Amino acid sequence: MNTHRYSRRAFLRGTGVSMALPWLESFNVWGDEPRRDKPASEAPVRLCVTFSGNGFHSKEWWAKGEAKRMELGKVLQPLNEFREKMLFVRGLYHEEARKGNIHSSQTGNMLSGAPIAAGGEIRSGTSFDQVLAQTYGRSTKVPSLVLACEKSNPSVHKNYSMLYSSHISWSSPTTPTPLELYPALAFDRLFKDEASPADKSVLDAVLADAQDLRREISRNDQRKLDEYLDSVRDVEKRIENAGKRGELQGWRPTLDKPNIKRPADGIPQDIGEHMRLMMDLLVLGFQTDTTRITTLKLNNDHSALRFPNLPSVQQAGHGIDYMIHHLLSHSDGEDWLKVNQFFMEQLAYLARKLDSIQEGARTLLDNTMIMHCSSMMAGAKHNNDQLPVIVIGGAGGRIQGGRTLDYTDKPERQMCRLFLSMMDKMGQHPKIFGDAKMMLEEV
Amino acid sequence: MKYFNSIRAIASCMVLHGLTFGADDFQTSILPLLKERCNSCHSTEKQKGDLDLERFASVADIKREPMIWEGVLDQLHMGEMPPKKEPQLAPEQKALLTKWVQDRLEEVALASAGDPGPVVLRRLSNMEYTYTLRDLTGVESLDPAKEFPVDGAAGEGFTNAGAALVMSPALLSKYLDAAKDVASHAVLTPQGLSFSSRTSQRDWTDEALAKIRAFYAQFTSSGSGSKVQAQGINLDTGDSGVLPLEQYLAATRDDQLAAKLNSKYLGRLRAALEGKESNVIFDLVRQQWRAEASAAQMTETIAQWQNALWRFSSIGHIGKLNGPKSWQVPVLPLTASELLRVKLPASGVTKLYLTSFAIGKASAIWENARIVKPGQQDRPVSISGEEAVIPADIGKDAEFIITARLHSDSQGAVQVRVLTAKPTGPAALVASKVIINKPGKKGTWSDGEKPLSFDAPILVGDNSDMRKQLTAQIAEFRELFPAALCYTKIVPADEVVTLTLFYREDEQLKRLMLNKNQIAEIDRLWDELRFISEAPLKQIDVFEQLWQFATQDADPKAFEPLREPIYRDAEVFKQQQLAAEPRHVQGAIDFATSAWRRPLSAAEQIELRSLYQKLRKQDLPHAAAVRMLIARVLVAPAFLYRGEKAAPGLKAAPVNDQELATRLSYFLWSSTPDEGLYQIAAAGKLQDPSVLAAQARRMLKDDKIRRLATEFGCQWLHVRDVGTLDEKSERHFPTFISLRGDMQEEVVRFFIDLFQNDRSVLSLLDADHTFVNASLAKHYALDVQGPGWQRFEGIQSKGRGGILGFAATLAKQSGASRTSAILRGTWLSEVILGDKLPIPPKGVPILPEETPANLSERQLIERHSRDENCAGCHRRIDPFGFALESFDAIGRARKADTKTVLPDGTSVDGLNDLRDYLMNKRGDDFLRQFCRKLLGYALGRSVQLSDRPLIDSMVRSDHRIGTLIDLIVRSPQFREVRGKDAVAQH
Repeated sequence: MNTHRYSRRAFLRGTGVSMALPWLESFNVWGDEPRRDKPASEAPVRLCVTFSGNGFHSKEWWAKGEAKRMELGKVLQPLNEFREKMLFVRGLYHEEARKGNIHSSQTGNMLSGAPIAAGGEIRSGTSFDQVLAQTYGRSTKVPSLVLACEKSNPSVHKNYSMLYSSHISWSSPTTPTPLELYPALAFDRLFKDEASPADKSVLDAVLADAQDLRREISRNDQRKLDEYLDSVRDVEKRIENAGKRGELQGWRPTLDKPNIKRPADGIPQDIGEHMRLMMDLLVLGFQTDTTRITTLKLNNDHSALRFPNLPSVQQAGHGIDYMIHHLLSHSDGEDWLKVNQFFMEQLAYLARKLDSIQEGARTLLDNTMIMHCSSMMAGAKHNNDQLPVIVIGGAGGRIQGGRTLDYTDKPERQMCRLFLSMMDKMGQHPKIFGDAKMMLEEV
Repeated sequence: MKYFNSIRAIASCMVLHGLTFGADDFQTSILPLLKERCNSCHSTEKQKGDLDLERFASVADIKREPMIWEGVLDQLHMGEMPPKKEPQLAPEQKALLTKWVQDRLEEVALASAGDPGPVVLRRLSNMEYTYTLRDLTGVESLDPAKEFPVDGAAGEGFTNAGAALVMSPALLSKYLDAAKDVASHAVLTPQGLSFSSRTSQRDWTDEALAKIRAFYAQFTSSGSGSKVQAQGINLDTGDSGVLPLEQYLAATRDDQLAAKLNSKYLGRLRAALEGKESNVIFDLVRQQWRAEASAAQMTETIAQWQNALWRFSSIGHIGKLNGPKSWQVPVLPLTASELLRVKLPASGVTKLYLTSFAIGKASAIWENARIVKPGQQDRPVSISGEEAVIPADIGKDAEFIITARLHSDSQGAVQVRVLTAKPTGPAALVASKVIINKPGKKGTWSDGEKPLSFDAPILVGDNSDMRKQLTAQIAEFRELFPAALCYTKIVPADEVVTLTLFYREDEQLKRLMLNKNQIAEIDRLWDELRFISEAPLKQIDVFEQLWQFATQDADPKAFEPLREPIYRDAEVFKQQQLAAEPRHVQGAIDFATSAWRRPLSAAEQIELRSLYQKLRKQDLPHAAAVRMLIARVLVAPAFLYRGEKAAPGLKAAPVNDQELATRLSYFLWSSTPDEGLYQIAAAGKLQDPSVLAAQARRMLKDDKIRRLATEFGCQWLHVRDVGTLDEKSERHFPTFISLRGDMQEEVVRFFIDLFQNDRSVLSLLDADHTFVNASLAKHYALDVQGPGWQRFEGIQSKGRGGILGFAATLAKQSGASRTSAILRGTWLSEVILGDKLPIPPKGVPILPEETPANLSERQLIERHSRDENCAGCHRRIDPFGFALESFDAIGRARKADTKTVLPDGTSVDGLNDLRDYLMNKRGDDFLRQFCRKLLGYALGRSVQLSDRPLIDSMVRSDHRIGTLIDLIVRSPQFREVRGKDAVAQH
């Protein structure tokens, strides 16, 4: 199996409709296997994208000032201790997400800016985390970890599949990356030893099946079957690569095996506990260098999550019934703010955890970019002409925190420009991505 | 087919006709209109809303992209375009444009009618995957997709559309794990493979045991035998595996009962009862039978003799030196002389009676009568006539002993007894008690057979003819009345350390009751138990352990004779295992044929066999390699995907027989074809439309149609998740959680009934029946008896009926704590009637979740809908919901204002009026929407323009579900696949 050809093909398909010529020019730079001959002297940059649906409180998502003097709106208060490591970006948006329906067509292109297909079709664009997974991510055992704390909704809403509301990570324009909700299975994905020769033989066999089948089916079906072919190859590659990690020179991860045990089967009842457990796992993935890219969807857009442990402020004594995420978002009141803060508290937990791990001179947080975003600014308005987004962490010294960047009145304020910048921090330099042709210089 | 061919012929004529006709209109009247009213925004340059109408320069251009023009029509219908602030189309202009576009679209529809359409390669959905594995293995408890990511919906809104069924490395790993888990349920049998709900050898062994016991239980009953403690061990005395004698005896006089019993045995029993040949014991029963004694009386007589003529021995060490040879052992109470013993109480017995009953010419001699006591000298007792006189001062623990001997003159036999009470009535032959004598010393091991004695022995000369006669007569009795038919316990535990793992003794059953096939079956079950348990291999370990144990405190030599047979049997078994290996590999290949829903090519069979060999070379034991082979079958694309071979080029062609069978069974059952369907496909008959339709009719009746009820019915109505819905306020609706499963079940049962009884789909609106259990009946305030599910007639008089009155739909289309006329109205309009509603504007004011105290839910919504931006749409949506306001947010009846005016001006008040309106004025819209959804579900894609003729014919039919499904399965879109090079049009 030629791995070079694989990445090229995956990449070509991955870029799909948003694919344009200038991409190819930059292709050689990152179409190849990461080089092993050049020892890395410092820790790699990690990417963690987190998402929460239904936007935030319409008046309390803001930040102003610089560094220590930076002031945060009430939503962001829980992140106060990290304000000097935080970049607050205002005014970015996705042109394509402004078309179509509320909710269902605002989220499926969150990380790609691609147009979304309606009418029973499933088509968006490869998300930037998955573009990185298919390039940068290939040097680790798990190219990327895609996690979620709320299951998706199997229906079609206003002519748009609800898959869009629950998938921000897309492996290809037609493949929303399946989500892992089970902490134990996420742990397995990272650490389970799949190096059984019998597994390998079975995978070889089914790969050959798929190649045979591919010849007999229509061209459209071939494209669908390629998802399967690529998946088999990917799992095979993991088996081949298992045990080869000792070849890394120079920088070494701070842990060589997990320091927590496999979580219990099932999903924790308490949503906060579920979120934090998923965060523990992604930190562990970074810390052991099992993966460098993680996407964690805390809840869906149009989310039905409940918060039985958060007492209602507005309707004292009746918290349980009333605290449903999507419903609350429409209220835009104290309780909504409280739920927003709850999410930011979880994010603070993640940042704190990353910041407590020292990797040489820097902390793991300093080597990471946590990007938190939502698909609309305020749930009460479904407005997405400006998207809420913050970046926490230093990207290995490449991002200076404690700043607010405002693009509100600037002409080129595509969210995809931020993605280009973030890809740049990870050494990937596509010339265009989605609807953007240039990075955000200020980031 | 004929119908569609003719449609196609007409279509091609019309295309030609339409081209010229439409072309003139286009240039003269349509194009100018577009230029004037549309193209200033929807120009090639501006492309407002991503729509460029300017590039359509000819009718041909328009016909090439009909979907865009369907969208244009929708916008015109909804009055969305031109925008309110722009100059509007005059009514006649709008009519002209609408009509013209409709006509062109109609031409396209006819020209492309029956196009199979762009169906994206379908992975099995999680539910299909689960159902398929359950059907393939027969293991209902399998839930392999439990931890899989939730499937998305696409196409017409169902989870069986290929576009939403994705794959990823993480998911593939899950499929591999799930496949291995399913394979761990495979049981290797002597014949091949089977599947169990369990995954351990111990459980499979228990299942094999249970099968044998179930087999035995068909013929036997639990007897009254009791556990007997003897020599420190438990003897099983036929407490099960007993001949149900009383029934059989009764059946000799009751033909109805006879028909239910084993005829082979009953025949023998009848012959014996009617037999004339004399038998001293049998004659006793025959006498009763002739005198029409009850079956119970006769059973009692027989049971006494069974106890006298049979005994049980322990089998835990069967086969050891001087040990028992079988569990059930015949007893022969014949002897030339016998020592009779009677235990005496300290006082109360003054006389003993020496009785005898002669068979033929015979008499007994009584001698050496005495009283014995431990530690004392024997005291002789004098006999006078037939009485022995017991002294008064014998004290405790005394025993009377006497020897009875056959008089040397005797030619016959004589039964002797010592009685404590004076016999009354004429003497008769009685059944003797069998006394198993205690061994001399108490030992750990039940070693050796002990001599038996009797309380009523029959004295007969050792080599006399009489002895031969009696022996034969007793044997005859035993043959017909064994104490047990078979040893149903199978696993003995009657020794301190039991050697025998499984014990088979069913000769009596075989001889008396089983026919050739049944004998073959029970032999097969035993073979299976032996194979699955690997008992012969385990027997070696057990033997060696016993040997070690016996060496410690006894002489193990008694077990020596067992050693060689045990080792030899293990060797034989290993050969059997080896010989069975190819059958297991073949079993996996046969499994692949079912799993892949088609015959395997020779190359595929070779590949599977060589993979097995490869796995063995990787040091996998045989069983592990076979399981891996099964896992490989289940992770193959041929299993996970419903691949369909496409013909070269662009032209559509019929799918092959197996693919058609697969389409049909996944449509109706969400699972793999059953044996019947598969065989018809294999015989090449399924392409015959009437055969295909007949199969569909058959399948609709099957219980598996429940899956169509949930996957299509509930999913269409948006209630598939009501059973787990947790978005209701527990404070307002504390009963909801316990009711939600029942709510969904009502819908499921309604659909099952619709499918199985071929009802009109209009009954979804106007049914006068529904299905309720006790809790749901209470919820609906209905008076029903009993807790179980039942059909309820006359539901309309209770203010419900059909989908409008389902608690599931009413609750689902409500908020957490209040109803929502908007949700219900939107649902009815969009989901049920297929109306197109404009997308709501962004930034609309939000309604509070809880209704303010001074307003009703309806007033709250009315106030909201007064907003200028909203009123236009809400006038079209809300009235439907207002009409249903008499149901609260979990579907309970309540008082509310339900008067409203529907969008077309019809005034209605409540559910009944709404139903009348739907039936009378919107019936076709409802039917069209139902047919559209059913077709989309059947095809796994969105319905497109070319499906319109088919849907038209469905709407024009008699609306019975069977007819609609018939039309679908006979249609080219259901039976054909687009050519290999056809590219999906979007």
